Amino acid sequence: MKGEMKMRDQRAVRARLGTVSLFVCLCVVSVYFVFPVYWMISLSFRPATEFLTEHPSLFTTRLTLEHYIAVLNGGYFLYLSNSLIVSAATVMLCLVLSSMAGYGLTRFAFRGRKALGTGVFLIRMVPGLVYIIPMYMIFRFVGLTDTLRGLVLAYCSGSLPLSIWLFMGFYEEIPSTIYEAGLIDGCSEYQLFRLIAFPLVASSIAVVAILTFLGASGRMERVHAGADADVQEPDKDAAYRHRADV
Amino acid sequence: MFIAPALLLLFCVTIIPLGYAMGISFMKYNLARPASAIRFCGFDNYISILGNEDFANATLWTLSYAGIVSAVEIVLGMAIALALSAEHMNRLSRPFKTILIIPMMVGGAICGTIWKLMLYPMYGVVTCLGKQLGLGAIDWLGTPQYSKLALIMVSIWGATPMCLLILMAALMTVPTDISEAARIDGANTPQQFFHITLPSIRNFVALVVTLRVGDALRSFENVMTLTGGGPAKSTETIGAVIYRIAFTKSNTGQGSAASFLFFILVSVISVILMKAIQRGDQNGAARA
Repeated sequence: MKGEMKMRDQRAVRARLGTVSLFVCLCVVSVYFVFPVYWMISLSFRPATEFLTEHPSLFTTRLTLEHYIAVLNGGYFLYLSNSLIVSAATVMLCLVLSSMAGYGLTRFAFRGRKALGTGVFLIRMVPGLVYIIPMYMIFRFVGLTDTLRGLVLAYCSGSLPLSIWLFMGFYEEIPSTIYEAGLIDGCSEYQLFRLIAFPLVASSIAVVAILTFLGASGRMERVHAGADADVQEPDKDAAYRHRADV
Repeated sequence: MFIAPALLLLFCVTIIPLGYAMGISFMKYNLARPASAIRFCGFDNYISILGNEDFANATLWTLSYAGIVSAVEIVLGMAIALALSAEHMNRLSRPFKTILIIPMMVGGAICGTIWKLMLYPMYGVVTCLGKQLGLGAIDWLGTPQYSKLALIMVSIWGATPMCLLILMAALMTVPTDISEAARIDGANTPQQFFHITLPSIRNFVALVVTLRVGDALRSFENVMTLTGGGPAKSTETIGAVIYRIAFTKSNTGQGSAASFLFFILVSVISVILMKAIQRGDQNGAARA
């Protein structure tokens, strides 16, 4: 009896020790992941004398809003509205196109369907840099450079492969009997898509929308790669502005 | 009918540029020279890029960088995911789940910028920390070894959260009754992990590996913002070299040729990893 009790005690102690050590490890790891973000936010509120020093302090009571005022006076709202317009338009266009393409690729059996699906997936593997040069030239040719429309098209093409791929997965979940029922009730092909298939996957659309949105804002740097001097400016304002910009 | 619009856009915005890039890669095409200097030159660009020492060095560095970074990220992500899903951590793990995915919201270029601020030789907080720990004043961005280390550290910071998120979701799919049965049969924790948990989330692991290796190979933004490829081109990834050749030096033809070689490299590696996924699928099916 006594031995059993002791063993149980030991096990409880060991479990407790395990939890504590795990907790400590997780705290250490969290510092690594959170500190840079804390530092960025903290610096954005400090006056310049507080961070251009050889002994920066972790906390400070001297806070200022001057950097935010400077950023807001520097055309920040234009950047923000540009980002929002482009991202929103990309998400809309991408959702419409990829929901239709995904439907087409799963609903109909035709020659080369599989090859098309694989091709779409492979396009995702192409490094973005390959496109930059020819895309710039083509856009210049049709007058799309320096326009938001051009950006939307560029981002959309970048997000389409993954969205189509995701939508194909969603549509595959729909049993074919539902389509047959729709056909018997006299649906046209378009009605099948609009009234049956699309509503059924509608709940998954949020996933695609979020991924596209993140992708569209993340790709920002890629398309105007070097043109964006702000990114390279060693100024916390710029860093902060760009963070919020994206 | 339904596919046509998407295909049309993809065709216009990806296939045509790809073909165009292919065309350029066979031409002597320099944006800094007059248009009359453009002419067909066969495989000259490819030959000269393959003989280019910078390109070779960058390829070597990119491959080792991608290998190290994705290995550390996946192991670290796995370790954290396991720790967070351990039974007795149930309530404690919730705040960590939120905290640890914060870096995912930060884009590549910003990630590089934040860390650059922290790694500055004089004012950077990490440099000061190193001094206080007695490591001396490390010039993080000024010496080849340390800037490579810094780049690796920063990439791990930026991408581990994604691995963590996918792996955490993966661990939730592992049925607990199998591990319980194994525990009753006397399997210890490592045995349970390697013989039960890992095989059952094999497909997820393969997905993470493919995504991360692909992304690491193509990494460009964080390199450009953090080190700009320097010092002395030591941290230039293939993407950065292509950027320098094609845009800074305006040698579009050679840049396109390099892009194509890069594309081939990435696709070959991706296809190999994809094959690994498919094999995993068959094994899983056979076992089921």
